[in-house]
Amino acid sequence: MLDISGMLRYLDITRNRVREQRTQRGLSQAELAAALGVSRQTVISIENGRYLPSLPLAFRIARFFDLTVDKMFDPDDEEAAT
Amino acid sequence: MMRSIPPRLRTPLMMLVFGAVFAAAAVAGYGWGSLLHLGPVIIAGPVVYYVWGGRNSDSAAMIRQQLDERQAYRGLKIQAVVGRVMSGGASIAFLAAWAAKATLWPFEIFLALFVVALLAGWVITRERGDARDDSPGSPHSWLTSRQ
Repeated sequence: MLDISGMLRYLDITRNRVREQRTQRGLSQAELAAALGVSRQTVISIENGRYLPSLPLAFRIARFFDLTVDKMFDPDDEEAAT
Repeated sequence: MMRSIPPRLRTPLMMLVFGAVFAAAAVAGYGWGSLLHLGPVIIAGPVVYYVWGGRNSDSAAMIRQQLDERQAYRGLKIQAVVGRVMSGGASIAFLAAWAAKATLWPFEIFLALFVVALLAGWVITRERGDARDDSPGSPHSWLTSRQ
């Protein structure tokens, strides 16, 4: 059976500020991917909320942007949700 | 030895080696004429695989064996789908063979492999260490309370 509410909760969690922070710094997806040691496709998936990064990768992303993980990935943060 | 071969070349090289073995068997069984059909496939397959490995995509990263965490996770999900389909197919084929009173032992091998693979997977992926509940009030709470 399809768990729609579970899927929505998952999508909610995957809202993040990666795209916002990347564009603020004038970085391309490929440049960010190279800095994080992942593929460009993975950066795209994270930005679009299709992939929830592991805790180590979430920390790498947050540290790269000089933010905390909860600032970067907090689903309850109104700014991050937009 | 495999480590000295660039990752992108490993799978195409393996395909070429297995292709050569298969071609040798075909020549032994059916003569040189069989190479006319097999040869192009045996050579083109690894070449296409190698060229595809140079692309900027998930499938190319899998060919190059240079996966990041999402691609590795996707690879595992693909393997899980393949495993489910294969085990389901083998079970259906077994039932069909049983209903048709056909030879059963090839299907029994597949089903036995399914069980062995399941057990092997369970053992390989198990997490070592203590899994007892040591929260306050539980029988093993002394594990943490003595600190």
